Amino acid sequence: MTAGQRLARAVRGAPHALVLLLLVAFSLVPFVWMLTASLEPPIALFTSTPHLLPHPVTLSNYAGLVHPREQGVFFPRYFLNSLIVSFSTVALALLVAVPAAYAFSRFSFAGRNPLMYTILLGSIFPGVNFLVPLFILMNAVHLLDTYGSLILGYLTFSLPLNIWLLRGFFDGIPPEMEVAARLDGASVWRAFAEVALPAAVPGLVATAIYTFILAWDEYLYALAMISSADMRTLPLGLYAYFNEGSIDWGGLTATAIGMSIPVVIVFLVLQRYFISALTKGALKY
Amino acid sequence: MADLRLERVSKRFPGRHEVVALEPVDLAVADGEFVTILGPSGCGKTTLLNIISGLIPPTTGTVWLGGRDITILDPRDRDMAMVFQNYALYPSKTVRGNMEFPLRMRGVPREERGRRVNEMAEVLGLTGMIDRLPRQLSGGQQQRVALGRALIRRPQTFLMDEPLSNLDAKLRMQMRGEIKRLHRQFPVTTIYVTHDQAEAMALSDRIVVMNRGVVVQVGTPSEIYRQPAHVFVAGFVGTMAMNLMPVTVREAAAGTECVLPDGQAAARPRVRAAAVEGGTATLGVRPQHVRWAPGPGDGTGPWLEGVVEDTDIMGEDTYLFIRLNGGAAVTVLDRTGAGAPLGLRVAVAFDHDAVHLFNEETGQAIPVDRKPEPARA
Repeated sequence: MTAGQRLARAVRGAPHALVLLLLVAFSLVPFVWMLTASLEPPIALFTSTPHLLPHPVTLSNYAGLVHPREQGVFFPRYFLNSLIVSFSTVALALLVAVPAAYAFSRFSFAGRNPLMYTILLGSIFPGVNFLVPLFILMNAVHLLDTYGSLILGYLTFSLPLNIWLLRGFFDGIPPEMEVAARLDGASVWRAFAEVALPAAVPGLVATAIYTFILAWDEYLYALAMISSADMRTLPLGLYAYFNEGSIDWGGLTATAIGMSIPVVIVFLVLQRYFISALTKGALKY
Repeated sequence: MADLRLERVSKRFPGRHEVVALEPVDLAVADGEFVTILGPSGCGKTTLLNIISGLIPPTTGTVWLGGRDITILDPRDRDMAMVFQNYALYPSKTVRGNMEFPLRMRGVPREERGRRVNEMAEVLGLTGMIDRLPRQLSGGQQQRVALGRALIRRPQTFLMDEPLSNLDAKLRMQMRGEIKRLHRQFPVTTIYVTHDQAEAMALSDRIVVMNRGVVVQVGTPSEIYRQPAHVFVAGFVGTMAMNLMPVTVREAAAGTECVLPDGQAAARPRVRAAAVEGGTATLGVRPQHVRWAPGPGDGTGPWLEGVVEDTDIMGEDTYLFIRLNGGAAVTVLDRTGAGAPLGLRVAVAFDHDAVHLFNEETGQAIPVDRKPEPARA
């Protein structure tokens, strides 16, 4: 390739690159701003010249993440609460959704489709509709203000979509694979566990991430269920930075950054499964 | 290893529109025999295979394997192995993991599994890729792994459902040879399902031709080709389909004559006209049993005039597609290598001794005296 050709190619690609750059900026700038705000004293936020780089730099905003911030506000505890609730929700969601989705995909039984639609019905209504009924229900079974109320509540929100999503993944796996396993001497259960399940891993990962973020970010439902300070999840905890008449932007952004870290880690750990979902499998469709 | 026997096996799928997938079938497959079920898609061949493998129960009938009634036996207890059109390899397992899976399911100890996988890999030329995942293999290699996984535990019966359909033409020929070689090496009773008549002819000890859920003929490749028992078999088997045309059959001075709808005599088969029910039949003649000449013909037989509409050049041979003046289309195999220009006026004549007659209603063959086929066929 001559220099001229290379230049011509770069020029032709320029509009493309520009659009991409704008999109990247659009999604990244708010995040950078949040990072900046978390790294400078609150007073620096209100200078007349907007700036993207923190000046002066301080880590004091992050102190609230490890030390008790004020009476009854302790973020390490909120972190723990959020982690327990989110991971439990993910584990239970997979435990229920995987067999359910597999059954919907592979077995034909009376009322299969009506049942699937009934399950999906739950996702049609806005979540707020379920707030009061679930509150009454949780009260009746004495689960208010416990992890259980949050986990069960999040499961009702996520399971319909989990099952539907996973069913799609199982539908995409040719049944011949399990038939082959059956003829090779495997039981129905073994064929599912050794053959169908590994092939559905990208689907499991997508489902897990969706459920994790749903539980990790949820605010309104947690606000209704949780009353004691010890049981707060992170989104509830963030509210401690909103005081009458003033907002602690430094603490708020620092905590928000801290709250993003587990999500980033989850993505980093699981992203290769996303990629493997995109690469060609062993089967011809 | 064992012989396989089907007794009045049929399948109906009930429902508002009941579907008869398979009319009652009787079939006996000897120990070590290679039998192909041949037919177009939707003819019931896969249904038959699934009944044999135990994936679906038959509506009626009994399946016997080695003298044992296995009609409702669970698939995994039948000791059958299957190769699928899409290979159905386990994508998360390596070549080794795939091939040892059936052994593992049967509790074969680790050392022996390793030994047998290595042996099988060698037989199939997969030695260097034993630790690769299926997606890292080519189509032909994936097919080999599928064969290896099926053969490794020496099943009593080996089932193959269109195993070569996903390969390109060249690889298909190669794998065809491979399957033949493997069957010679491991003479397991084999049921092979295909819609490709060339595959069936090349591989089988016997062929079961099916159409619309009915077995129309069972025979050796040679019988199927030379003595088609049904007009469907005549049209389905053969590189280029047999020419088929409706005729009326009558006695004439020179013997029995087959007359085309336009009144022209097309052939004089050695059959008494009285043997042809209703006096009408379907006349069949393979492209290699049609002579042709430019112009109006030499007057030695009932020559039919027509025009060359198209030609297919297949190397040495050329197929001429000729439209007769009476409207019928006739395919002619030209072995002179000369070919013919499109639009050429030609005359064709059928080999009297090589024509077939079929009942027009039932499609069944009408017995015709025929001299032995020349070796060139």
